[in-house]
Amino acid sequence: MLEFVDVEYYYDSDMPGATPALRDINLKIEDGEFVGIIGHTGSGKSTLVQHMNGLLNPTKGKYIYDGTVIDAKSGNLKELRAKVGLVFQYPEHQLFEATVLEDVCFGPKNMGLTDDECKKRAVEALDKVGVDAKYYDASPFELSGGQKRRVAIAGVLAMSPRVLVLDEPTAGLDPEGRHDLLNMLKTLNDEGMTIVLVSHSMDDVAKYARRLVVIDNAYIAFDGTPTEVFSHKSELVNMGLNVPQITGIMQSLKSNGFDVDDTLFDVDAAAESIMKCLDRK
Amino acid sequence: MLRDITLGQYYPADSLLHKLDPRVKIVGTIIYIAILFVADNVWGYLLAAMALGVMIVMSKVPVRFIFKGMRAIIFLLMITVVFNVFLTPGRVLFQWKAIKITYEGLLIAGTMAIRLIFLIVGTSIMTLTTTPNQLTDALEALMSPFKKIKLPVHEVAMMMSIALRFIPILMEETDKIMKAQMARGAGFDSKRLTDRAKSLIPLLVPLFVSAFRRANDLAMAMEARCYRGGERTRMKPLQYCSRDYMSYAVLWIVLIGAIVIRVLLPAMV
Repeated sequence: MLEFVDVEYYYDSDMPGATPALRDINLKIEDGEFVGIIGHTGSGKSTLVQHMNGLLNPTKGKYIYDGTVIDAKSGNLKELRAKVGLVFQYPEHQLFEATVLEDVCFGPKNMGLTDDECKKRAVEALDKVGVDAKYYDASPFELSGGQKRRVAIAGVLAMSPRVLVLDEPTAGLDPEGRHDLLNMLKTLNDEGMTIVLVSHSMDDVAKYARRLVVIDNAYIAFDGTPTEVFSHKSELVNMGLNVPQITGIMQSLKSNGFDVDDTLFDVDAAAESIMKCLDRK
Repeated sequence: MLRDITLGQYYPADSLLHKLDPRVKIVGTIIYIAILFVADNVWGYLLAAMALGVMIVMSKVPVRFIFKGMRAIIFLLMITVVFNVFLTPGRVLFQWKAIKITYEGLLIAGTMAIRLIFLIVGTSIMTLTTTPNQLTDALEALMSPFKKIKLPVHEVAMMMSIALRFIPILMEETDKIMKAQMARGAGFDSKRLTDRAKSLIPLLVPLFVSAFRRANDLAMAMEARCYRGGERTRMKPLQYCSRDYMSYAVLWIVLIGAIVIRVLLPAMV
């Protein structure tokens, strides 16, 4: 379980008139949850997730993971980083080893595991993200964009984290690669891993996350199920966000006098609701 | 951690130094360096210090900001001072076993430190008050005589401005990659030097790759906009006005003053 208690964060706390990147953050994420964090560019969502594995320390307040308390003064958090895996935006930019397998081994090696154990974990992780064994000895720089990203994600998975945090993992991927990646996250979640997915795309998040946290201007604006959050359409639009396309259609149908369910964000369910409404007429 | 480096940074303000023609500032910096090396007695250094003080006040850049750049060279400064203090032969002031401190050593170390500090502060005033674009425009203008010997002046200036432009970008990139590798358990604070050098590989390889990628993208973007080098005209051509001529006059007077001081007054060492 990870928990934020009154967290506030400043990038330049010593500068007069600095504005916080995070303010009044109180958030609790239980084991096994699939949480989507949504916010406009610059809203503070990336800052928030960098607290989760201790890359940033809160300026005020504290962050707690499984009893480990992190506040402004905490140092060396290597252990935490193995428990909470963080995948950055464009993770393929972090690849550096000569071969795919060695690159994925980097994380486990830093944890001080033996070579055999590292390899075992790397193969497991690559298997999970769907990278074929024939690529193990290839240079990561020869792979296609989508494959590079899989390898990079495997690099974090190989540390066997219990929580996986991903910052805009689908940016720059084609629709198929996007779909594959999100499905993979779902599988990992079904196996018991906590997933925190950061995105500004409602459509991505709505389909998979069971809980949404909306960050606006350093604050948590909404926190609830997708249905709850999407009912605040006008506030979301004001924040530069939107409801998923399909919810938008349903909401305008409803406001134009059709008796449909305007909380849906799933295409099939929406189609059914429209059919039902038309039958009734 | 990388945000502290102010060397080569621009500080926007509305001052006479900011408005001065960048060519004057470059020539002025060269003259200032010359003054520093002409000085060989207290009066010479005093003149340099006064010139520096006037420039700092005129630039309207906070003093704290100017000296923040010093942090980068403090190590170099210390090595210079220590070597000069202990290794210069001469009249011994203090001796303890093999270690001795000489009068000449102290003097040389002191003047070296002053020269280095003045040099860095003086040149950083130039970069703090001049945007990188102005700086390269001025360099291009000042180097234009070299066109006669077939030196590609415009291209050299363009390369310099691109290099300067990329400093903050690569800085940010370094920060990102560092964090990404730290998320995979990498440590950049190892005590042993060999471990520390090794720990830089996961940082440097992606950084190089990204620098090449960015260079490639930029070249493509420039070509797409039909960039062909030096045949362009300027939107804002550099133009001297009266305050620039005045500044030139003051600069030359100070330089002549420094030379006069050197010739007329006795040297320290």
